[in-house]
This record gives sequence, structure tokens and C-alpha cells, in this order.
Amino acid sequence: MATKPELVFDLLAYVGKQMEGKVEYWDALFDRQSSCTISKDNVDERIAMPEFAGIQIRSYKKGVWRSASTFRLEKERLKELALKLVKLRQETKNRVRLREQKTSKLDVVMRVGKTPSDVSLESKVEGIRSFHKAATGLDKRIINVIVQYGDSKIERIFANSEGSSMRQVVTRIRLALMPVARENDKIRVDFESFGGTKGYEVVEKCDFDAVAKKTVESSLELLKAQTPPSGEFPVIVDSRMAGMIAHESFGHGLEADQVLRKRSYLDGLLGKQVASELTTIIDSSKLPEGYGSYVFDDEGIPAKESILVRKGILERFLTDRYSSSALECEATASCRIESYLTKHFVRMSNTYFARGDMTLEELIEPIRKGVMLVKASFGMEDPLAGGIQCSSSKGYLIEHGKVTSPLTEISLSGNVLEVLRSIDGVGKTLEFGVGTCGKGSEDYVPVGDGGPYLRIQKAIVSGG
Amino acid sequence: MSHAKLFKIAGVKEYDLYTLKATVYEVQLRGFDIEIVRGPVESIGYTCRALSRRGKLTGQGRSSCSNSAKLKECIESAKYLSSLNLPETKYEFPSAKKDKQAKIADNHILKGGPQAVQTYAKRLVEALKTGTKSKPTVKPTFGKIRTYVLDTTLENSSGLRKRKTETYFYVELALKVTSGIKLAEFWPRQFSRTIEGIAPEKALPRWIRLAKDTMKAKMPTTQRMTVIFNPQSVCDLLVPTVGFHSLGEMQFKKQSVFKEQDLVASENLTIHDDGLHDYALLSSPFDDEGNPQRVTSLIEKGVFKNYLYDQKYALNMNKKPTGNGLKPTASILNKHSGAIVGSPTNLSIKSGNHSLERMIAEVKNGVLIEQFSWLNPDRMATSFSSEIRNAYLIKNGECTQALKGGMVSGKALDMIKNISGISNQQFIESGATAFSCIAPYIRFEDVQIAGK
Repeated sequence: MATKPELVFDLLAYVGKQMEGKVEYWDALFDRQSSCTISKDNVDERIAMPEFAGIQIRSYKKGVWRSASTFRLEKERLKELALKLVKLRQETKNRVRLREQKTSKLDVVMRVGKTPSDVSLESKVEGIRSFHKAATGLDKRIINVIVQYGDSKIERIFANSEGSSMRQVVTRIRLALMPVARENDKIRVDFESFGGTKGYEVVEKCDFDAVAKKTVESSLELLKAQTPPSGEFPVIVDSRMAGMIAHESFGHGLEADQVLRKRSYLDGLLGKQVASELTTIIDSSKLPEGYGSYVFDDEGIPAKESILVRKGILERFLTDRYSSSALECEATASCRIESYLTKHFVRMSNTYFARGDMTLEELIEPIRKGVMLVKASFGMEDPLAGGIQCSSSKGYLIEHGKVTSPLTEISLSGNVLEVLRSIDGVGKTLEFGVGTCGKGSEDYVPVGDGGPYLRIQKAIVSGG
Repeated sequence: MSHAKLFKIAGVKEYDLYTLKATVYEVQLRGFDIEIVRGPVESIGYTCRALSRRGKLTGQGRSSCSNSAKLKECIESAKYLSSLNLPETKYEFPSAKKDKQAKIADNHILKGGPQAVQTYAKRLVEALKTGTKSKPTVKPTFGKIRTYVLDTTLENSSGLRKRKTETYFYVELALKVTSGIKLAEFWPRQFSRTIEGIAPEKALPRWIRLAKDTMKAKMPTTQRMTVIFNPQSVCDLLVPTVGFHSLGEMQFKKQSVFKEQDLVASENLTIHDDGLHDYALLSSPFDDEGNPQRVTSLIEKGVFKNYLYDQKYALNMNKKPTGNGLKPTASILNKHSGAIVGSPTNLSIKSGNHSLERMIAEVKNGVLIEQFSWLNPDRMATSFSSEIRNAYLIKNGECTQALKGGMVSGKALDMIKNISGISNQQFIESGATAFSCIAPYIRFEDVQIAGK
């Protein structure tokens, strides 16, 4: 099997040769992903090292894309698939001509502090056991401690009909702690997680004892937390929740494939005020150490930083090769695949609110009765209508300018443009989280999101 | 060289090897046009598990690859990982037992190849064009139509050798309604074992109605009221929560609040884990460790009866495995590489006596849920708060107003103690959180709604 970069480049060029002159555009992408995952709780310890590799080839002709994917990295099979794509007859009336992009030649291994593959498995396992131990026995109500570690290396080699030939190797790491607290039939869990396009230094620099103590206390606090109030309230969100709003509720509507489908609530709003003047939102696939960072996207466009909203004004959509051609705008290097087995889509990378100038105390001070949401857990997009489903695993009641009682799991709802327009305070400390994003319910890619604390004058909240 | 020989050369005495070979074909639509034709998408995955034995306890390592030439390396890796693994529990690979059969494949998908999706795409577009002529205008903004053929083989050092071929069919469609500047959408996503399980002529009328009705939707007001969950929402509410608390593993870890013979739900609730239901999405003759799947009673008339066991927790708790050792994963094509964990197969919620119409007719003030944005409850606490995407307000026994926005919130294990009705029809469902369920409509009393 040919997996050395120079052999893979030869394979991709060979595939291209089969399609040359017979299609308007072709590209081929080699994808190799390997990872090490260790999970430990009070009973189970699981260690795994999955790896896979394959190639996806695509062609574009008469307005229709064709693609095929295979794990068989052999010239004969790839030639068969390329010829199949060439022969497909589908076409559409709406024939967008793909704009040529600058030819790129790149071979970049993204640098991280300490490459995880240089660390012995014994050390990794010992590290995870130490983290687990640090959180065990701190309180008898902690009935289980879950630690999850994962490092991954994604190698992508790309070639296309424009003459680009590119290679990138991106390393990511993720570490999470979840102490499970129980009192009678009440079971609650909080979490802490770290990661990014970083190396094993994430584990080595983690103060296990301090993180364990803080997270255990937070899980225990949830045991006495109240059910959140339901209805419309002034809301403060922490950096991770801000990031989730930027990504899930706002960002998915900026994906230009949704605009072309006439399925974006932001269609027609370029250059218009979509958020309060305090609001600037950025998507950057170049963000240093961002979990969603890369060197080039899966259509060979070098990574970029895109200001999406500047002082409340919508400046641009996120695009891939097709949508930037159809909309006659710049390609933002936002085309991503989960693996060689999945379709290319317009996706976000690291999406975040820019910082403001207020302290958390200043943000909270004017609120008579409100809610603060912390520890984002999940969200879902509504690109057509701009609805919000953003959930946090924890919250706090705000009464007379002070944080008072802890609250259990809590969600934010409403209309995202109303929420963004009602932001009247932006914190000055910027933080980022690590996450995985699906387009709908599939096609998961690593993303980062973040922001400072935000104050929203009014939003709908509820909790179970 | 045989796989058994590769393990022998590596000095691995106890092992299993799970192989998944998959072929996918897909068409995606942009509006009524074809955006992309995909296929074949062909993948293969080998995952081996190796045991290292220290007294009665075992260490376990798992390694995967996508190339048979790398299998030797993969076995060595699993062996090494098993030597590092801290042995705290007992394990042994299951021996061969007689399986019961379930229908899990559609001949139209097996034999149809790329034509099957293209034929369905044409059928869908035709049905859409016919079914969306009346005002307001309904158009698809995008669609996905996909077939999967999966061949699984499982062999282990206890002499077990098993094979199955199964199919899946996936349809995702966003239907947009436009009237002036007003927009609304219904966005169904559905898995089936068969193409006819999502026949466009049957599915579209409901989808189009929901899209059109959502055009007139309002946000609910904040109050507690009766809420009817549709089968898909029942799937996402109960599989993660009742399923989690029904696992032997969670009893072992003290994370289950269920105790055998305790009354945990209303007397009208009966739930089985049915791993053999024809064409249900997680039906199979055997689970991912090789134990036969079966029907296990979980809740009978509100009383919790049995836990579900994978091989490991059955051994460690002196029970028999119930065929619930599965590899749950977000991606069907990468399923092979997942860890074996205790999981429900198809939770089957026994149907009740009333039609949906009668269930609605009995409600004075309530909501009928047709779709949440994403109902994703906390499995342990069982709490959730989910945005309403498509629903109806019920007043004095009639659906009077479409609803969108606002939230429904609650705790699943509290809600099942407050069930006032279950519909008389069951549906094979896939949810956004849970992959499989066989569910009716369920009516819950005194549920929190949040809105304006």
C-alpha cells in the first residue's frame, strides 16, 4: 500500500490523469487518521489505537459534483473509480463555472509542543491514571471519576486539476475529567476539558490536583443546585456558551451552501446590522492552537482568518470553492470533510466573539433577576429560521447584581438575531473551548469556539 | 494466512477480530437539482481485541486498521495495549451459541447498487413536485438519499465465527415554505433498514403538512401543561435515559437509580429491549461481541424487571449476557473501531389502547410535539430542555395553533411516572440522539413549557 507522501502524490497525479480534459475540475484527497484514546473510570480502563487511510476523488462537470472513495490505494482501483466518475451523465441547468484558485504547493507539519507519538504509551497511561487518582476519594459522594484522553494525527495530501499539490499533518489533543456525584437518587456530573492543535504538553502542564478539586467541587455543587426558572430573563453567558452561540446559532447560517440553498436567515443581510455594535465575530482556521485549526482546507485553499461580523455589521459568508464561485466572493478556506468517506461541506473552524472591556462583576452588577449559563454542553443549528438551542451543564441565578444559587442543566432559546442585537456588555477575557461539530446530525469535524462573557438583555431560558 | 494463525504467531491466545466492510451510494440535492452523486464509497475496518490474563483478571487492548496488510501490526499493537491495561475485571470471549434470526437487509438495496438511490431521488422529486403544488409554495432546499450495505464478520479465540449482511437507508430533507417574506421549514432525518420504510408517497404528505403549518407557528407561553411526544421524540427521550439506567454496568458502577421490582413508571408503561424485531435499526442475530441478541423485559406495567448485560458485566456480576454488548458510534462506517459497551438494542415501548386522535381529544390544554431541534437529555440526571421546532398547541381536544420556538423541559425518569396515555400504534424510529427505538406517541402530564 502506497502511503509514503511521494508515492501518494504519484497516485493522486495518476488519478487526475484519468480525468484530465474530461471534466471541468477534479481533485483527489488522501486521508490518513490515527489516534490514541485512553479512558478510565473506577472500573474500566480502555486503551485503543485506531487508524485508517483512504482516498476520495471528485470531479465537477455541468454543474454536478461526482465523488468516489476507497480504502484500496491501488492504481488499478483508483483508475476504475476515476473512469466511473467521468462517465456519469448527470447535469443541472444551474451551471456555476468554478473560479480558478491560486495554485499552491505546500508540505507542512503543524508544530506542537510535544508530539504525542513521541511520548510512550506507558507515560500516557500513567498520566491518565494520575489524573484519575487526583479526583478519586475527595468526597464519598463522588461515586465514579471518568477521565478521557485522546490524541489524533490527521495527514491529508491533496492534488487538483489546477496544479496544486499540498500536504498537511495536524495533531490534536483533548483531555477531559468528569466526576460523577450522587446523593440518594440524585446523580450529577460536571466536567472540565482542555485541548487544541497542541501536543502532550497539555497533559504535562495540567495541574491534576487543582483541576480535580475544582471539578469535584463543581459536581458536588450540582447536587444542591435548583431547577432553573423558565421564561425570559437577562442572561450572562460564559466564554464557552458565547462560543456555542457564535458557532451553532449564528455561524451555521453563514455557511454559504445554506445561502445557495436559500436556507439561511442571513441571506440578504450582508452589510446590514445583525448584532449590537459591541459585537465582532471571527472565524479563523489559522488560530494558533485552536482545536479547529488547519493548514489548508479540504479543497486546497490555505487557511484564513475571516471577520464575519464587525461592530454588528455582517461582512461575509463562509465559502467553499463552489459557493465562492456562485456568489462571486472570496473563498474562505472553509471546505472540510470528516474523512475520505464523507462529503465536502462548508464548515466553520474556530469561531469566536472578540473581546470587549468589561469585567464579569460589571456585567452582572445591573441585573436584578437573571441567569448565568456556564459550561456549554451542546447546541443545534437552525440555519433557516435562526432559532437557538444552546445548552449548558450548569448555571447560576443572579439576584440584585450578585451570583447566588447554582442551577442545574439549562438551555437558551429564542431568535439569534434578537439575542445578538440585545448584547449590551462584552467581557474582556477571551477563552476558547474544544468541540466537535456536525452538519445537522452527521459529518463531524473538530472545531474550536469561544469568546468573553457576554450580557444579553433578554433571552428565553429553561432547564430540566 | 488465516487470521487465527496471525494471532498465534503474535503469541495472542485470547482475541477477537471484528471486520466491517461497507459500500455506500448517495445522491444529494440542492433544491430539485442534483448537487452531487457519490459512490461507491467503499471502506473496510479491522478491529482486534487482545486479552492479557493476570490471575482471574484481564487486561484488554484494542487496535484498528483499514488494510489487511497491516493486520499483523494491528494485532501486535492490541497485544501491547492489553499488557498495559490495568486488570480490574474479569473477561473472556463468548463461545458460539445458537442465534435467532431477524430481518435486517433489503434486497432492493443489496441488488440496486447506485441505481437504487438515483431511482429513489427521481421518485422523491416527482412526489415533491406533485405534492407541493398548492399554496403556500413548498420546496426542498436540500436532500440526502443514501444506501449502505454492511458486511460484518466476527471471529474469536473461543471458536466463534459469525457473519451478517445488513442494509440501511437514509433520507434527510429540508422542506421550506415561503409566503411573502415569511419562511418556515420542516427538516426530517430518518434511517430505515429498507427503501420502502421511507417511501416518499407515504412520508411526504405529513412532512409537507408540518412545513406548511409551521408557517403559521407562534411561540408558546411559559406554563406547565400536558405534552404529547411523537415517536421520534419518545426515542430521544427514553433510549438514552431509561436505556442508561437499565444497564448492568451502571448498576455495577452505582450510577443506576433502578432496582429490580421497583415501581419506576406509570402502570401503563411496558418497555422491552427487542434485539430481534424485524427491520428495527439495531436488530441483529448477534451483538458486537458475538452473543445472541434477544428480547429482554425492562419495565412491565411500570415495574423495573431486568438489567441489560454485555459479556463483561455479565461475567463480573454472575449474570448471563443479554446480547447488549454493542459498539455505539456516531458513524456507521467507523463502527468497527468503537469500544464494546453495554447499550440497549431497540427499546420497544408497548403500544396503548387509544388512537392519537383520541389522545389529543382528551387534552384540555397541551402541546403535541412533532420535532425538537435536538432532544439530548443528560443520561444520568435524565434532565433536558429542548427547543421546539415543530409542534401544535392543543386546546379543548383540538390542535388549534402551530408552535415553533420556546422549550420543553423536564426529567425523563420523573416524566415516565406521569404518563396519561400511549397510542395504539408503534413505529420503528431513529432519533437525533438515539439510533433506534420502536415507539408509540406518549402523553405526559404536567410538563414545563418555556416561551414568551
